[in-house]
Amino acid sequence: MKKILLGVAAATILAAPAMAAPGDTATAQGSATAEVVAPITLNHVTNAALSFGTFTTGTTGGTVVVDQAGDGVASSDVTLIGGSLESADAFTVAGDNGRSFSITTTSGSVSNGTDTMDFTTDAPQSGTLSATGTASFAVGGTLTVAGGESAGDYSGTYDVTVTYN
Amino acid sequence: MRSAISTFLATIASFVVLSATAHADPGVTSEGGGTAAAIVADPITLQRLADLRFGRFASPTTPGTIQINPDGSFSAAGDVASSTGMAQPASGRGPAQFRVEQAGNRGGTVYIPQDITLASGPAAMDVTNITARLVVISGFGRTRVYRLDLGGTLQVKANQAPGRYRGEFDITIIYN
Repeated sequence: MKKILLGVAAATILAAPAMAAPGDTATAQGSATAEVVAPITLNHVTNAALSFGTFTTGTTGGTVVVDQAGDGVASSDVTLIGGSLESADAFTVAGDNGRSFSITTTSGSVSNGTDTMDFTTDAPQSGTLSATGTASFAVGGTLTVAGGESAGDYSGTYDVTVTYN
Repeated sequence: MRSAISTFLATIASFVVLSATAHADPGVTSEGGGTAAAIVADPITLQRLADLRFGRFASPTTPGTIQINPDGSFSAAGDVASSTGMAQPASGRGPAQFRVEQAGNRGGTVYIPQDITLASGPAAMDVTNITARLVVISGFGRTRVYRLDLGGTLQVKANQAPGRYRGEFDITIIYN
């Protein structure tokens, strides 16, 4: 026990057991509380990727937009070729049952070692964990093509963060 | 039937004895002034106003601390700090508070715990570095009123089991 002296002018904190002094004491019980919830964890679905497909850049470029459902659309001088497979990225979330969370994603760039193209991402701003503490969401994006980039396989990364609301 | 009546009478008799014991007439005991003396000797009253609330946070991957100060400010260290911004319980986060009424000019000593253990089932967390302050609410007249604010540092273990944790502690005031 610590103690505080109650006086007209001074208050001092001391650490000592309270010694019984019948009739001259008052006691109250207090409570301390804390609530710990399951940590929120983010898992990237194996083999999922934000894929902008296969396209020709044209000379003036344009964009490839992939929505959260995984459908791709090319604009301006960019043309998706037949058989191009676009896809949205996929994540699962685990944590406290029924709790909502926010989702943030960064932009990024893809490179083939020679040329680079930038992309932005499109994800829901928030989600809610189910009654069993699970959730999932997809990430689309927009790739900006300058035009005239060299042919090849381009790859890159971006970051996703989930945070309890 | 006779047996039953006897039992009934015996029960009444014992109630009378117990009742007499519990309500001893001050006039027939050697401590006849007991009732009045108790009022004079126990002029400090202590009333609980609020719990020490560490709020809601996510189980961290590494050990950390949440410190609630008597003035209501708080800080967190370690992985647990990343989740203290989440939605808090309706009771919020803050220091324990007690109302202290002190009559007359006698000083007193407030005893606060050295540490508190919070438990949720078999899981536990300790509160250490307990500090408190007395805030004068009404310092004039024969009765002075203070508010006792009490804070501490919650020691959160790595992978602390999720749950609602609670611990009790005593505050005692003894007259000087």
